[in-house]
Amino acid sequence: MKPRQLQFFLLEFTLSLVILSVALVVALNLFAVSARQHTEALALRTLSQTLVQEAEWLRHPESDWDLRYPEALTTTTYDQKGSLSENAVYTITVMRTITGNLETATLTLIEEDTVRLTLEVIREVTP
Amino acid sequence: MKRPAFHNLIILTLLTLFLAGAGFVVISGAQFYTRMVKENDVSLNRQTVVLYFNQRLKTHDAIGRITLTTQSGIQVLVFEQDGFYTLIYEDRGHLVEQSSETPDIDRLAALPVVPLTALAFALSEHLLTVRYTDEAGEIVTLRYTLVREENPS
Repeated sequence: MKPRQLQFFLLEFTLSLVILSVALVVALNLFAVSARQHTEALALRTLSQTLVQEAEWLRHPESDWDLRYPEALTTTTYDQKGSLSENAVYTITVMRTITGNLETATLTLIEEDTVRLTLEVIREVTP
Repeated sequence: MKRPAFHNLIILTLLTLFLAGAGFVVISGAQFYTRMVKENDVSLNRQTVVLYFNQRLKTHDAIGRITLTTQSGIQVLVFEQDGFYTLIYEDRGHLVEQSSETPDIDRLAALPVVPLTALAFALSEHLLTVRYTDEAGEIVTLRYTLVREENPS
């Protein structure tokens, strides 16, 4: 191989390595983004189920709302995987209001500052 | 032109690093993808069970025709509407739904909904408890409120 040919080969080889390395970095970045979105989707599904189950508890005619939600606004925080945690990524709030003889509980799932899901349970005020 | 030996060594090292990196990305990507699909399936199936019972119960609860029976040792949740029956039970590792004119199990008429095992129901005046084991081996308990006495047909 002539020196000129060798230089050209080395240049081509180096360029190929650079391009493939950039492709690898892009692939790793894609994996990271997919993993984050996957974790977010799982957490949102888990928390929406929690919200539905909580609404079912509130719908029960014999459930004592005062016992579980003594305040007008109750807040529970969850981490990025949807587990109970002080490190709030997701928040479930339960707001209780009374209008006439109807008592309303509004359950809201919030991701940082975005409202993801809202459910409302209404029942008559028990004397 | 003769290159020094350390130039060859650098090129060889770079090539080895690149191949190792490429192999790592491909293998870890495959593992990640497999795990993601599996977790997604389990999560979606859990969501399906929650929404399936929610939709079924809300539809039939107002009519007040929900009963729990046991046939051949299998617990069956039976919804009756206009002389037709919808049966929900576990068959061969799946939650199945069967629509028929009689409230008896007919496995050939049952359609699989989601894979699960150890499905058990408990029905009381205002509460239906559904307990099952999902594909990940986790025991899941769901509770649904029945208010049929407050909303008679």
